[in-house]
Amino acid sequence: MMIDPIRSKWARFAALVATVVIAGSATTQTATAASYVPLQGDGSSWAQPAIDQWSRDVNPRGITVNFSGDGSAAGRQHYIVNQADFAASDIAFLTSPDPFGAGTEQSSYAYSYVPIVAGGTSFLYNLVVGGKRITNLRLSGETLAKIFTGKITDWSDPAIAHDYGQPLPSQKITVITRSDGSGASYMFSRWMWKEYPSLWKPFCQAQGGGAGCGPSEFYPGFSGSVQRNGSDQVASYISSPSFGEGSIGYDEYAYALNNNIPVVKVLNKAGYYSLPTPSNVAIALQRAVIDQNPSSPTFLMQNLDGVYTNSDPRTYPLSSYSYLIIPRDHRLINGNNAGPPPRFDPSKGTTLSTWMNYVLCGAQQKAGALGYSPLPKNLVVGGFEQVAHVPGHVATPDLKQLNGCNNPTYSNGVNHLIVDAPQPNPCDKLGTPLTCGAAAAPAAATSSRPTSGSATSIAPQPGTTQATTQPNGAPTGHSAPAVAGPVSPSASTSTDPETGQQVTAGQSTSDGTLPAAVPVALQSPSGSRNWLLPGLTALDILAAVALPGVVLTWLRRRRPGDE
Amino acid sequence: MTDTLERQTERMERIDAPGIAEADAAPPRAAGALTRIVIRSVSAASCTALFGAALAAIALTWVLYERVLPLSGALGFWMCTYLAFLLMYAGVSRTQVPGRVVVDRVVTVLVASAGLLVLAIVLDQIGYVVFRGWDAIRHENFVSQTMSLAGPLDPLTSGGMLHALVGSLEQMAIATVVSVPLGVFAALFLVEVGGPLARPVRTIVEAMTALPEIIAGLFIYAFVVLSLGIDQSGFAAALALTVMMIPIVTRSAEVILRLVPGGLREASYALGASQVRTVFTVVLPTARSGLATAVILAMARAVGETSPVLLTAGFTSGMNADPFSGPQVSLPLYIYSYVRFPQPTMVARAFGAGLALMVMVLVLFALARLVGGKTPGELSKRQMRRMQRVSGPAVESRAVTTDPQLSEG
Repeated sequence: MMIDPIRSKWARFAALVATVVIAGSATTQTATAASYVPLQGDGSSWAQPAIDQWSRDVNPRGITVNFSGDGSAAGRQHYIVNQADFAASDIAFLTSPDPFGAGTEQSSYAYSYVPIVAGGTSFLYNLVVGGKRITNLRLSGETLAKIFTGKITDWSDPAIAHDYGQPLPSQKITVITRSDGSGASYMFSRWMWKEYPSLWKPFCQAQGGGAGCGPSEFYPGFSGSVQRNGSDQVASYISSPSFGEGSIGYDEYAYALNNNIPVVKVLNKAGYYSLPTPSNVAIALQRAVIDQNPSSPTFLMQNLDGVYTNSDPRTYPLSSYSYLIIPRDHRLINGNNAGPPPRFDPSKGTTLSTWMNYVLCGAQQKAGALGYSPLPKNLVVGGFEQVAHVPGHVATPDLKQLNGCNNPTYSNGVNHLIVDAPQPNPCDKLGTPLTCGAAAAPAAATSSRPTSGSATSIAPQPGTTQATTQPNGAPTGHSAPAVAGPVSPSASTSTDPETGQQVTAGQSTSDGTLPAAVPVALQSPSGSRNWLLPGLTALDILAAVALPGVVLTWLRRRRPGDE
Repeated sequence: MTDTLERQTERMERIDAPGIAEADAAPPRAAGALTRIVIRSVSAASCTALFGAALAAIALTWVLYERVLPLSGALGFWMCTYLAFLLMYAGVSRTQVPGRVVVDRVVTVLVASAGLLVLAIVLDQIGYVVFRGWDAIRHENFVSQTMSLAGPLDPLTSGGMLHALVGSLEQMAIATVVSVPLGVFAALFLVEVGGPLARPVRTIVEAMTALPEIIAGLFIYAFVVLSLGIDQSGFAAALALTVMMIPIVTRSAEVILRLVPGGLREASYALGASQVRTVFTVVLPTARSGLATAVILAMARAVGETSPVLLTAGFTSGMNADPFSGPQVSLPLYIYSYVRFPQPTMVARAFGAGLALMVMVLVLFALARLVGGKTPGELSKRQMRRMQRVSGPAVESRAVTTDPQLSEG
């Protein structure tokens, strides 16, 4: 290619000018933080609603976050193979092999774990006694562990009666677990592994989990269990009026909220039965510890042991949170000083950290409405410490006071969580009878469902009166005595799993005793005798219907001359 | 057939005369008064038997199933009802007609109810999607907006599926452009060229038809995304769809090409045309409408595929009209992602997109029927003009007149 010298000189000059202009505009742009690059991430389907909502929230500011909720394992894998700018995962990279899943995972690119959404592993169930749906089931951790390891197989088990405060009629327990690898399975099995090793270890080993048998993303199926693919299918199985009866399964709280499925109140270490409400989970997670030892293999991973045994009476013990796996400037991996993934550059870091500043602060206001729990201060601070290691990051809020951070649990030096999270209902204390609180509860009856973040978030908005003295321990805006029809949960709009503490008794005056009392004797466990009388009656009716026709035909055939 | 047989046997059996008179007079009214199970027999007696048996079966099953026996569940109820209906119908018929006709009647009912069941299932599926999807799709913004400004907490009056619609159309277009030449040429190889290689090729194509869709996605993910380093994009998704479409196009194109009368080829060869010329000027134009049907059916199949695009397309909530860079969402992926959300609005959006997808497939099928209604060799006016152009002016008039004969041969 021949270029005229003069023109080439002009061209060079033009290029120079252009470069200066572009560089100048670039610097001004970074100064005003207006040029964002699209981010691409994938992973946890559990966190997807939150991530979608939060990426939609920052979209008007020019930040595009593309997220594909194809599962935590896929998200981690994509991060390892440099296919994603960030990954959302309910669990960390596997440092030890999963008893029922894959081996260990090792990223060769530097990464940090940032908490993004918290939530409680909820136990959804479907129990109908005497035509009335039970919504106030409460169980201790040990009973739950026994149910999910096949030790307790019938609802009439004395352990359940002891926890619930009243015997339930005999009915087979159908345990619903996830068939796909999921964070919920991992969190639940980790809790059992830590709190009830004598139940989990033998169960896990009997299912072929090997000698070590740690927590697993893949909950093993066992006799009496039904496996379902995905949280939505677990929820829809349990809520089914026909085959879902007598079933219990673990799932995310959002599915219980949106499908009006009752949730088990789990006994915490303080001796209270509590629900996985946003505030209860956030309270529990104040004891979550982030490993700060850079040489440890579990560096920056969560340690929830303190959460399980948190002694605050508001604690929901099975609380956990989901990570965002984000690039880090450098990290020691297998003795090598690894850098961030090659596809990740500082401009992406600017975008990502700007988004994270929103995610860890203001975005948490919406956590409750989305069915999650807001992150408490310790996790927000832990998250920001990692965001500060993203290449090209912007400034984070000050970590002492969290000034300017609109987090619902902590802002401007005040821990709203400790102050405002409702105390548990005294009726939820271990040992109180089910009839407790029958007089107190209906006072709080408001038949509205939570529609905005303020209803479920903990921070009291100015002007919102947060009834901390409310006897049932639920935030305002939740209906109290739920009247659930026996047919379909969605039919009754006044039902809210929040009110698991209330009963589905037809009248709000009776509380707890009505449904369980009547039919215990009616449905006797010996099924064979139940069939005898109805069977005979049925045969009688059939004979009465069929005989005239048969006789008529026979007579007609016999009639002479007809053939 | 049945009613004549029945009427004959009725006459032979000398069953009371009024029945026959009614049978001759009543048919239209009786057919209208029937339940949906209308069988060929139209005599009042047989109608009564059918209707009465159905009613009696429902009543009996209700008493036994719901009241007496400790059973419950809708599925069991209707299965028992059906069984009782068959028995009763057979029994009642036995009092009217001889055994041979009873068997005929029962089998007729069995076959008819199987067909009705399938129809009911299809209608139920369509109806359910329309019912659930109407909430979302009745808002005008659902087809004119993307999800970039709508999250799970936003009402249905914001956000939509425009980006998924665009993605679906683009991916389908790319997949069609790639797979149709490949598929048609493979079919030409099988039909026109043949040879020892044709058999293994056909076997492989047949095996590929049964290939699980997710394998196609995995293959493209491993080969194109991971090995070649092309990011997850609409193009990668289209390639995965291509893997799905090629065997479908090849299989149906092969069948269509085989339908082209051998006489046409022989005539072409006899005129001294080469094989290439014969294929391009005789075989392909003759089979054009059939090939178009094959292609459209393959497109309809591909546009509804989720698993191939699951691994290859990525996911975005915003518009990405460029299939070659960045994630691009298509309708099935949009449905798959959003139907699993806990929020009811997102599920409604998924069903709305499902409705849109169904309409899209329906349009494609209607197109296929429209294009494929003709038999091979039957040419439209435009095709005839084209044939005249190709054949040259000399055969102008003859091409038109001889054409129907050719297609018959």
